[in-house]
Amino acid sequence: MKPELDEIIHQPTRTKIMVSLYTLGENEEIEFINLRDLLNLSDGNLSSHLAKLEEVGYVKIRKTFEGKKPKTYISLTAKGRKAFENYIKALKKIVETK
Amino acid sequence: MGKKEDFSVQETLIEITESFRKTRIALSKQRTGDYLILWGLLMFLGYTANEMLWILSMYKTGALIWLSLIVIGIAGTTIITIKRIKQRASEYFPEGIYIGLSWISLLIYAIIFLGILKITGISLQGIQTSLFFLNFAMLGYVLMGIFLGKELAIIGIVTSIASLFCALFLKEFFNIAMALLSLFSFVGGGIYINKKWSVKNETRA
Repeated sequence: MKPELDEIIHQPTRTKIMVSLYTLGENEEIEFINLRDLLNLSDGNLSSHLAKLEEVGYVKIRKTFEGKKPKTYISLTAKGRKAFENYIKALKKIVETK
Repeated sequence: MGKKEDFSVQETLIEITESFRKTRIALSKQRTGDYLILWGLLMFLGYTANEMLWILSMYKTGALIWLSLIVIGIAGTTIITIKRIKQRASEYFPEGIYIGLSWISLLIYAIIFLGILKITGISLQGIQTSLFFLNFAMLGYVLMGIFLGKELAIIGIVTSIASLFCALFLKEFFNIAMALLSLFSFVGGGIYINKKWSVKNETRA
């Protein structure tokens, strides 16, 4: 049976976002601007893809103030972590069956 | 259709590998600024002490002060490194071994060059010694920059140029100029790098 790829993750930008957040480790979050610079994305592009990932519960977006500066932190949820692991497993299966 | 899907899977795998590599490098930069802040503060203290001792005509105490600062620096570097290793598993930072080897190679070559100078009857003094060690250390930062990103390399190059400028045009104020240079380029650079590459622990946020 052909393994199914998670359609939400299986998109170039969202894959990159998921990889970066997964690499951070559990309970760790990265500031929005750092993630944007790391992935070489525009504010709008990153925001729209994060919104999609947040909608399905894969990422958590935390908005806060540090002093008077607004800051946005992004992290992977447990559901997102699991989904990404399953996505990698599915990719491996596809490669192995070729 | 099949070909298109093949390409897409391969592309995804390439994207994953590349993103993983980029994030890992970013993570390895995390808290790199601590080294710069530590050595910047120690160099600031060293050059300030040099100036004070020069005013008080206590030249011989200088070597002892620098030696103590270097010992503190090595102890501090070890503590920071242990902390980093505890924070991140070694698989996150495979470049670490190359960086470590680069510093060891630089130290060995600095000793070899000093040996060659001694054999040829040239002995470095005062400003020359400062420039020699500082620029060897800056070469280390440029090499680290090759592995970890341009910020470290820029700090190394700017500090080297500034140190030569101080030696050529600010001889009278060399110690003060170097103390300020250490404070701005090392401590300032360190704070910038730490801020730029901060990753927070949610549970502590």
